[in-house]
Amino acid sequence: MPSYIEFQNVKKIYHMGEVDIEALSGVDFSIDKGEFVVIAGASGAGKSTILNILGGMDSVSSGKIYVDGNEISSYNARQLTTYRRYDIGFVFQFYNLVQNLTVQENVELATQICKDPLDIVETIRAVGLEDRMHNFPAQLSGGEQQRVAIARAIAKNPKILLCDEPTGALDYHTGKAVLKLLQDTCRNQGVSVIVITHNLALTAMGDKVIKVRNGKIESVTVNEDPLPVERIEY
Amino acid sequence: MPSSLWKDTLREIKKTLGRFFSIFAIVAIGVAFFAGVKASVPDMKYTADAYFDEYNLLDFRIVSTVGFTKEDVQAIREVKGVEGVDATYTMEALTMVGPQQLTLKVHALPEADPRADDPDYINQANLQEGRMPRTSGECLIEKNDIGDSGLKIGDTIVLSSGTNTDISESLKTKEYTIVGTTFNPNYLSYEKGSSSIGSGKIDNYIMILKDDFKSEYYTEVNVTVKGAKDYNSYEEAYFEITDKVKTALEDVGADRSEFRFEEIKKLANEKYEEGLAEYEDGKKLYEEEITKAKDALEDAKIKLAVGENTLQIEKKNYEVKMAEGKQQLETAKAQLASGQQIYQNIKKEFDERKPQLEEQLTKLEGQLDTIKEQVQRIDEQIAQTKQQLEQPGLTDLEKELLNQRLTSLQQQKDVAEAALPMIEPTISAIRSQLENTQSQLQMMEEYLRILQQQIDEGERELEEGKKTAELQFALAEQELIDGRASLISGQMELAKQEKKGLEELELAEEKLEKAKRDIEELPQPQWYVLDRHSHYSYMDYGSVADRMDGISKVFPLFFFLVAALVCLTTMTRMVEEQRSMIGTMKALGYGKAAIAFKYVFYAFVASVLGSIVGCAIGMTLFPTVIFNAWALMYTIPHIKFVMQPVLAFTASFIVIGITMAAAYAAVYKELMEVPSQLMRPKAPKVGKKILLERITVLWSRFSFIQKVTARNIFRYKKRFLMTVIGISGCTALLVAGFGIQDSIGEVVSRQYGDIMQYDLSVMFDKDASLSQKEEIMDALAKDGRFEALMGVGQYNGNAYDGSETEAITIVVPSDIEAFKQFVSLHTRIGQKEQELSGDSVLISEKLSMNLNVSKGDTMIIDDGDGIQREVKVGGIVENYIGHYVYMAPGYYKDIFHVRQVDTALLAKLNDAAPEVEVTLGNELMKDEQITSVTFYSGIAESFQDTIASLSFVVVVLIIAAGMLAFVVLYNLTNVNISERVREIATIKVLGFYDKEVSAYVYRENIFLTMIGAFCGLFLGIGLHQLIMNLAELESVMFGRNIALLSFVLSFLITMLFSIIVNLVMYRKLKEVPMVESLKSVE
Ligand SMILES: Nc1ncnc2c1ncn2[C@@H]1O[C@H](COP(=O)(O)OP(=O)(O)OP(=O)(O)O)[C@@H](O)[C@H]1O
Ligand SMILES: [Mg+2]
Repeated sequence: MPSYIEFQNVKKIYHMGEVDIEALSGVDFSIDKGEFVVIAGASGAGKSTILNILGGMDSVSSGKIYVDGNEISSYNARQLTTYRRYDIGFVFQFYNLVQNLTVQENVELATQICKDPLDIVETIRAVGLEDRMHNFPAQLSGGEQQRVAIARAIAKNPKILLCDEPTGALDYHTGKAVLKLLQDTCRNQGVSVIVITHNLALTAMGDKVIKVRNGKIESVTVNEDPLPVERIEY
Repeated sequence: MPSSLWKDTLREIKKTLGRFFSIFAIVAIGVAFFAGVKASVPDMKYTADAYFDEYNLLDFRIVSTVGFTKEDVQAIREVKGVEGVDATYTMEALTMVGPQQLTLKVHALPEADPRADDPDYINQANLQEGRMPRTSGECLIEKNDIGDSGLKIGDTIVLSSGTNTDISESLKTKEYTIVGTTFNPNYLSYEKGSSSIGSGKIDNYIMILKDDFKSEYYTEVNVTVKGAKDYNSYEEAYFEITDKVKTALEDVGADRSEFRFEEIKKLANEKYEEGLAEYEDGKKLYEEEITKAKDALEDAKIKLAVGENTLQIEKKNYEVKMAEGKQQLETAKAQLASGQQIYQNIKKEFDERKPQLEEQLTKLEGQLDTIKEQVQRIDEQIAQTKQQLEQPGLTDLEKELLNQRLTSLQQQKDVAEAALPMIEPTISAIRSQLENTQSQLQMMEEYLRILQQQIDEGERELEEGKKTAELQFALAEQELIDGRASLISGQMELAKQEKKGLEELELAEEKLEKAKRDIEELPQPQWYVLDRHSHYSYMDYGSVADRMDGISKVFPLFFFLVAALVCLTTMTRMVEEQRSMIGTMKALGYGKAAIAFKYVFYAFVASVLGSIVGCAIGMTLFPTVIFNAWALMYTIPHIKFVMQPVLAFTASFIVIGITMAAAYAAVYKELMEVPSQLMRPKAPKVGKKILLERITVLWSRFSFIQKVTARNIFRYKKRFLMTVIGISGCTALLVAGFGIQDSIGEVVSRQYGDIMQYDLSVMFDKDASLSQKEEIMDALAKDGRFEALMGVGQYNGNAYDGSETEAITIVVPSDIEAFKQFVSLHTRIGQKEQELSGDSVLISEKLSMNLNVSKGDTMIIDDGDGIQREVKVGGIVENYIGHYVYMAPGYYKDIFHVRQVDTALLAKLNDAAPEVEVTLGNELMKDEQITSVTFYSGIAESFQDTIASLSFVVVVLIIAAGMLAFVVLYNLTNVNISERVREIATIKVLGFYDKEVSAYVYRENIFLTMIGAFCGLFLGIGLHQLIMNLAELESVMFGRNIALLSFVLSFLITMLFSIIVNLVMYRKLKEVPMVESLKSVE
């Protein structure tokens, strides 16, 4: 019986004209349901590649990926879209809010296509933006925008929440607040949350820490006693 | 420039081929349209001029009211600058092809086989089929593709003059065999101008040998000018050459025409006198006839009176006789009655006395018998006694005794016998008395019977006499009634004839007066040296070409605007994408100019390439298409292109300038910012509430996606403008294209259905008298095939507008009310009926436009005699084909001093089937007083064919519309996608299916397209109006309507274009990589 998420010898090769770039050269790891996983590694190590493939935005070159018992590595484009639609929530480094939509509408954009979304207003309240509901992204700070992005991801009621450097563009405090939000979501709603970070200090908060290096898994550490975000200093 | 910039630009182009293509394509389309349509004007003119030169078209046509003598021609030849001189003849003639009358212009060929290089061979025939005429009685006729006259090589045509004079006074023979078909530079178009005879319009021309004319004077002299062929006659330089010669020729004309003025005047006077004499004769004849008719009527009247008297007397006589007869009968009846009475009396008496007499008689006879018995007994006793005496033995005593006895017996017998004569006469007397009375009675009876018989007979006779007399009287009375009736109708007929004759006389008098006035006003004969400005075909074709110039002014403006917008949106996007790079370069120390250069250069390369392609394609394609379109109506051979570098460069420069300016405008704003700001990602365009959101009722109904679309649409104004303008242009082109078909297509049905509601018109012979015309009309009125008919006066005249003249048809109905059911006079807009009033005319709409007159203005017209008269315009009526001036009879009389006379007959048929028309036409043409019969179904058909061929315009417009839509929508989508790559990638990551993604992007496209298409419907109406104004022929007005279906179609086709572009772009959308969403904001 495989784990909730299972990577089996996953390879990803990018073809750039003449040269082949091996972004992932055989990655194996597993993640359980409701786990808060931190992926860390140097720039260019392949973190984003892992996340993209897991998020159904990219396909593998070889190897297998199982999510909740389904082999998503064999999905076609449409199946992948459906998978993204119902199972995945994505939080981007640069928020990727639709500038032309208000906070509420940005969340709506995601929920209107799901089967069983959370209540929009509730979700926005949960990220502390009920007052800004009708503001446009440009009228919000970076942290607020990222919280909207998280609200958008959470409101879809996904099984897995993927966050690629969610704090990358944020200052320390704001970053912490965002991470707290993610951790709370994981704890309260039982969503598997996978967060990429450069910041090794943050590894302390993960249930599991996966370190990537040169397209390979350097180490997988299970943290018996993850710290709440508030107590982490970096 | 630094080569790195070059490289950068080239790489940029390679990277953004779609964008580059947008600019390139819109520039190419714009330039192609502008340069193409504009180039077709000189191309058309150049082609025509080359054709003119090749067939030695005249430079001048000299005409004079009095013709030319050989000396005149010699004088012309001596003028400096004159090259070729062709003193020639032309005339108008009529011929019949089936029931259809054709008006022909007859031209002369100088000789049997003229040499093309002979400078005196002017207006050369461009033989198409067959051969040139060689002998008298042969002719060429124009090759006719459209409006086929039905004449072909080998046919013989018979010419007639269409006027009072016999054609044989002008031509040696009137029969001509067609030996060839030809074109002639003199006639480029199938419209050949107006005629003074026949239908008023020249249908075709023929060329015969000069020798076939037998006029004393040349009717015209064609002249060419030395060196004029070196110039394009549609250009000013040509006229600079010819104008000098023109003045010289006019001088010659002034000298020469002096000579003949008096002569002409004398001739005209003679003619007038002749006419006058004729009129006098006519008058005398008329009076005689009228007197004769009156006398005859008087006789008839007297006869009638006599007849009436006789009848009266006869009746009296009859009555007397009847009374007498009755009297006699009565007397006879009285006699009879008294006779009967007497008879009865006698009979009664007789009957009473008869038994008495008979008893007496019986008694007497009994006595007689007794006596006779006594006698007999005595006789027997005597005999016995005698016997006893005889017996022997008788004693004497005995004998004595016996003798004694005998004696006593004898005595006894005598006594007895003596009584007898006494009785017997009594008996016979009684008897005769009886018999007498009896016979008397019998006689009386007989008499009475006869009398009765006589009475009966008398009565019968009386009855019979009465009957016959009454019958005779009835007959006589009927005869009298008939006589009276015929007297009255005779009187009426006389009155009518008298009036008609009087009218005819008055008319003749008026005509004479007019002729007299004309002679008085007879202008000094003058030479008219007509240059090509007065050449119908030259001007007609030139104006057509100029009209294309008008179109070329509208289209480009529009395309350039779209080009500017396309370039602006494209470059704005490009600059936005490269903000950070611009910032970097600025930071690196590049100047504004150097940085801007890249973008301006990008636009420059795109527009230069676009211009080259646009010029190359446009300047060959459009002139060819346009030329060929007009070639359907003009007889010019193949198009010749003329190099037009100025045009090509102008067009290119304009559009290159526009795109470069747009590019600079796009980059300018960014250049103004400091590098640090540029290097930071640009604050994304702030989302804003749009106006629509304030209308909460509406906004809250919008679906989520609809809201997004609405916001996007109003956020990007440039794109909005570009798309709406571009797409509206596309729809407008389609509307115009389809509208052209609608408007042209309906011309025929409106002209010959709604306006002219009659089926045929019949032209009377010019010399038909009023009564002859009336006879024809009366006969036709009885013909069951006609539903209705009426007479109208139709005159071919001219309307003047400064130097221009327009051929018009003056229509003067005999009865204004009745005319309404034949021709509907109404305004086009509003369809308001216009009344013919006594103090103004109604004119057709196109005429009002050509002359620029409107209701209430005055205008100058003539009725073909050249004397100009001013009329007031009382209204403008809808009309599409030809120019018409409608006048009430009263106003006509006021203006022309001649009363209205029916010259034609308009008729409606009960059944306008082709067979009916053919038989009817043939029947009508048999009447000598009818010169032509025109059925409108035929005209409608041939016109329909001509204009149907214009539908190519629609194809060109649809293609142009498609290209425009494609470029604009392609650009819009391209810009939208590139700008929203992150957004698209993001929603893909969110799990939108491909269809949902494209809907997200395309909804906007489709909505903008719809707005654009909607605007385009209105724009199309204007464009259509404009094109119709420009494309209209001189005497034809096209409709201005556009069918609803055309709007619908245009809208749908625009949407279809949009869908096609969206499908093409769908691939691109699908390929947007999701990892784009991870990139930082640039
Ligand atoms: N679309 C691509 N085409 C070619 N090579 C790629 C592509 N995406 C990633 N790579 C390469 O794959 C390798 C891994 O990239 P990846 O983005 O996963 O790194 P990372 O660990 O996320 O780095 P960072 O912390 O800088 O984001 C890199 O060497 C990168 O150059
Ligand atoms: Mg990364």
